[in-house]
Amino acid sequence: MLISVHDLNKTYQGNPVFKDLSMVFESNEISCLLGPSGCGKTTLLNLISGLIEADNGKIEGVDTQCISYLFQEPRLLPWKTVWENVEFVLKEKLDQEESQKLTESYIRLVGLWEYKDYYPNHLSGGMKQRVAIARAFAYPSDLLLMDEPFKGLDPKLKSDLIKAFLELWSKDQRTVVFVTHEIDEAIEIGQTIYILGQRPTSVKKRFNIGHIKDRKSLAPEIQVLRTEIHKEFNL
Amino acid sequence: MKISTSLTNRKAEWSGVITMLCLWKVGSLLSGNLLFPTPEETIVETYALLRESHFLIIVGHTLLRGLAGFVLSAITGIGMGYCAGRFAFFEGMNRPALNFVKATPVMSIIILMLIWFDTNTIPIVVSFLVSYPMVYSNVMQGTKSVDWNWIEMATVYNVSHVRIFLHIYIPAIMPYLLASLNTAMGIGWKAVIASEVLLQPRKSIGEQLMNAKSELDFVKVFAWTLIAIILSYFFDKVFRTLESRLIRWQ
Repeated sequence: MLISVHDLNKTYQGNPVFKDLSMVFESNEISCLLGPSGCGKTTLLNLISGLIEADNGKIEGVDTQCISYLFQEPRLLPWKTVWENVEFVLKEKLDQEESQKLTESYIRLVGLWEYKDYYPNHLSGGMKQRVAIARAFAYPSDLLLMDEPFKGLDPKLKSDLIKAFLELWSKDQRTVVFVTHEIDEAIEIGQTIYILGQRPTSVKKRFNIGHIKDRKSLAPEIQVLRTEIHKEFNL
Repeated sequence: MKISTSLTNRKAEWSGVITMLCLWKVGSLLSGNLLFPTPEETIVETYALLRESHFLIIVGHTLLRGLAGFVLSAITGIGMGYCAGRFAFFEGMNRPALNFVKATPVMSIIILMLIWFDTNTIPIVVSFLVSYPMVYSNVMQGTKSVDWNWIEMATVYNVSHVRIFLHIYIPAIMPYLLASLNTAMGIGWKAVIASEVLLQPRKSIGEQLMNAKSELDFVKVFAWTLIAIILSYFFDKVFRTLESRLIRWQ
């Protein structure tokens, strides 16, 4: 699913967030939005998902029926077990057999099969986020929106979750819009990186990195890219 | 750990019961049996009442009144409380009536009700009026406690409004609702018996209490009181079991 954003304008409490913002998210690619806090990254995801509406401009290629959204917080229902939380979003979309098959398969893929009957308050922060990842992937979507889902997690856990996410994505490729404010995270995950500026936000620069498989953190091209991105942020 | 905690709690509860029985016994010995019957006399009298042919009819009538008031307050409290939790205007509109009901003395209500209702119906209305504000306020609080993030998540994943209501609102409200229903049942039960004592509808625990008092039969007063307490304790147990089943996740 290719998504194009055309001349998007959005004002929040009288302050312009986006002014004529245009960008393209390539089909079955992971596009990262890298920008300073408060530049409107989450607002853009909310616009794409249809949770809020733009003042004017348009977003093409989005079918709001087929979007998965991985929020900053896992947003699990505390009265539902791991299994029920994943299955909750599938019940109206798929028949029972298929929804059970997908629920099982994705809970296994995120390594939580033994915890399928646990309630969220008995899981650690990382486990909860893995349930949210399973839910997002189990949902039959063409587009996956991710809003800093690894924010605030310790480095080891974050690296494990990124690994789990990339493994899932390589098996089940979808168009992903990944929001972050961490340069290394964007380089590790993204195939295209958009650098966003301060409000009213516009695209400062776009980098194409290529396929994730070819990437090694010490490869000279990546080092150059990292330096370039740092320059964009005056670091 | 959980088992040992519940065992300790049970031991503590039984210690409390034994202490109360001892105090009761000492009190009755000090003040004379006639005005303050002993626990043994009360238990014997309670057993005698249980064996009487009309016992079930009397208890049944009072129970039905209590249940009717309770069901009425539960249904309206859930409906109105949910709407008030969702819509601020509705909450504001209901506030004066709720404050009025809360502030009006039960005795004034009973006297006024005598004009409009018969003595069999008034205990139901009184029970409803004392229970309803509790259910309403708690359900409203529960509805307000629903995290908007859950609703947003469900909306993005195209979950229907009906399922959002059934799977998000209802479970979120449930702990508040059960707590309020338990308290409402207790208070409503007391209100039913109090109004029965005043109005003396035929075949009721209140009428039996009043008759026993008129005959200065204090053992019987104690025995009927004990029956009312046992029934109230039974309802409380039912609610606690329901609570532990319905909100296992907590």
